[in-house]
Amino acid sequence: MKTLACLLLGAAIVGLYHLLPRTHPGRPFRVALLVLGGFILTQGGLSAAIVGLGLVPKGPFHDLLHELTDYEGDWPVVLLIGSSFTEAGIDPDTLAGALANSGRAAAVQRLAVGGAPHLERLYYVKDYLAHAKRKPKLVLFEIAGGYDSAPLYQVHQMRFSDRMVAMMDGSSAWWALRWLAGADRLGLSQRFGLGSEILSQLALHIGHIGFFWNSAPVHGGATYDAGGSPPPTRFSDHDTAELLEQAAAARDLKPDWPPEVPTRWMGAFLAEEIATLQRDGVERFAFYSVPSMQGANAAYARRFCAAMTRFACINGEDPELLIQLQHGADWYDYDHLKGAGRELFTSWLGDRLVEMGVWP
Amino acid sequence: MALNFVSFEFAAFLAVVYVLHWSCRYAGTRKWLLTIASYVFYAVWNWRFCFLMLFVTVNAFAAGQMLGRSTCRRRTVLLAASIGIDLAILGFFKYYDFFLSNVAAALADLGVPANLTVMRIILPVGISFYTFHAISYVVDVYRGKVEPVPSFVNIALYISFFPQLIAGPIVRASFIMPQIRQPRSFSPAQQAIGVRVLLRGFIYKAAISDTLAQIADPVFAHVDQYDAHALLTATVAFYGQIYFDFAGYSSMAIGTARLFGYRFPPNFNYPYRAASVTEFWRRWHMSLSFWLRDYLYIPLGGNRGGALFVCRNLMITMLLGGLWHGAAWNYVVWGALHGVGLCANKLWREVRRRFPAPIDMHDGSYVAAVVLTQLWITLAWVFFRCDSAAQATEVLAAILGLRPHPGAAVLPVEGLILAVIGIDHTLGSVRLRLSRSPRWAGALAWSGLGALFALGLAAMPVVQKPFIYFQF
Repeated sequence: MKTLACLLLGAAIVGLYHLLPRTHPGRPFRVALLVLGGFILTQGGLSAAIVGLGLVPKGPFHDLLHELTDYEGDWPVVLLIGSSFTEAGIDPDTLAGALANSGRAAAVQRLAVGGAPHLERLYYVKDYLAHAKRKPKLVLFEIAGGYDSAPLYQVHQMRFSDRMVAMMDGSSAWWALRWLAGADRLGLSQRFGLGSEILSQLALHIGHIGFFWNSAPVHGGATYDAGGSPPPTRFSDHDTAELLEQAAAARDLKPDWPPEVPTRWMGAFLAEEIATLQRDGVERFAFYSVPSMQGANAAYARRFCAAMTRFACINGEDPELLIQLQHGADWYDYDHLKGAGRELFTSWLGDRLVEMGVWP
Repeated sequence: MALNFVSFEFAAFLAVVYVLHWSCRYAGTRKWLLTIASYVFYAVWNWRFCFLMLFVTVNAFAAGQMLGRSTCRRRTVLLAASIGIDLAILGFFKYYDFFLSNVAAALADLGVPANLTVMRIILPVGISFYTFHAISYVVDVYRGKVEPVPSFVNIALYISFFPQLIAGPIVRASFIMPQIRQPRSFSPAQQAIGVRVLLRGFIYKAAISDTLAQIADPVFAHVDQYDAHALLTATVAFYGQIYFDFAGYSSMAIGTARLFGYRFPPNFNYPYRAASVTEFWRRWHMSLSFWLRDYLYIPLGGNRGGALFVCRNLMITMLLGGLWHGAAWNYVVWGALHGVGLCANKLWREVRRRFPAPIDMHDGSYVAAVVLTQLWITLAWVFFRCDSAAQATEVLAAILGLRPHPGAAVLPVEGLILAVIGIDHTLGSVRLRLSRSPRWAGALAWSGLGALFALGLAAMPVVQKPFIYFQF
């Protein structure tokens, strides 16, 4: 049907092109202004139409939004915001069960997609808030050294993809450029390259390029093929125990990560994200980290929680939990849990939320 | 991959070259700038083949210089040598593997053991076009239509000028050389035409051709998995796709050249209105058909002689024209079908001349002629689109119901596709010229262009396909 609609639109565009009057150009400046004016007005009209029709970019987040925003149940909503660490490491049903067992039932929603940088998460958090039938009571933010320390890494890796163009609105571009301006250890050519990518993607986003093809109604079903996952890494129980011990002992961050945790940029970004959620009535916030076999990630989570005084911070690098996760079968790879490991961590997280009074 | 006209990279490239070009004060500097930019444009695909294009340019330049100083007898030898070099380059890169694999297959059929190794030669992008440009220059100098160009940059710009480098139009030396010699001046009227024509091409390509590709490509990629109706829909979709793709590309090339002050001849004139194959070739890829007419068909004898002799010339021209499009038998069949169509039209006109109709032809017969012609053109496109002549035969047999062809169905949109073509071909001739009209007409015209550009951007599929003619 989309082909049919686009074909009709194409026919209308061609027909209108042929019907436009042919006039002799007057002053070039006036002509340029008129062309630009027509372009901008139409873009404005398209933006209004997109909002009016409730269209969102197709992609992994679209499928999630469709599912999450539909919830109209009686239980209060707990929203998890994160990346593949959360996607792989936390089972919403298990977490809901753990909270219900303590007599504080909740509907747990997981807004987490593999490879999602902070900019993309905030973009879809706004979309979520705009469409959610029931707003969350508690929002939990994932802590991850890679995403927090190099927020443009994934943006660069997925440059000019549907996903990155879709999320690169003015706000995302502003935060990206702000990080670029303050980042240490970046050469001029890197700054220029990344800056060009950001501005180009912003132009593609603002121009709604390909939007009719790459969009779907927020409450309509759509499937998105995100491609295959990398094959799992196989660990022996012995190796797993050893790697977890090494991670627990690690104190250093990765050499290319800034020593300041969280960075000034990250602090400002989180403040903005929290303010956005507060404007929609969210009152409770907390942070959590998913266990990792990489020392730098573990060290980052420790430093982050130590620095976080305003909200509760649950560090997954808990010695007792890690002892229970010393089975190779619990891990998909060095950073992602699976199977029994996921269940174990999720239950543990539920208990901590209740214990620490995050979910009263 | 060559720079696609519908891409962010090309837009940036065009913007930079445009600003630099009109910032240059001297005409000579501008020509050097455009030539260097054109080589950069080509180098984006593969810088090594810039040397091949340079060699073709040197060959044409040297031949032109020598032709200008030579005597009658030597001139023919020089002409043959220069064209021979161009054709040898084209033949080696485009046809060597095709020739060798066919010889090997023929020898194998005869039971003769032969160890012929196919070299898998890379086909340089645009080689068919820039060698034809070079040949056009040398022949025009030989015929005295163009003075030998004393400045190397002029001929280098003519052969490499980036709007026409990859897929034409094939601009005659006699047409463009006077423009290259004269300094270009910035004119708002020219710029306005350039923008409008460029936008038209963009709409054709981005909003329609690539949408039609979404219908045609999956079906032609797996012909065996679709039912007969789906094959018909895909065939009609390709009928529209190739027109909007190539006419779109040509329009963008013409518009881009106009932005730099150069006027290219039109390449398309609503070809699906044609009531005969002869008329079709006067409206489709006009720069190629006129090139083939002037540099191949007429030297072969053209319309002189009897009907059979003329048909022989037509068939040779169209077979070579088909082969020019690609080194594969399906292109040869495509050319042959057009040759047959041209011959049939020639013979029909001969019959009509000798036995005039007792009554005037009315509109009904004109419509019938258009329908028949377009059916023939569509039939030929099947061979053009399919990977092999065998696959094309399978598609046609299924569509004509000669062979059961069960499989998946697609949305039957052939009526809508024909309506889109109809809208373009009908409204294309409507011209609301409002040069002395009130101010609102101008405002509507220019702001409308901006609005259509915005709509076209939103309607284009996210994944852009390269222009079909980039492969030739």
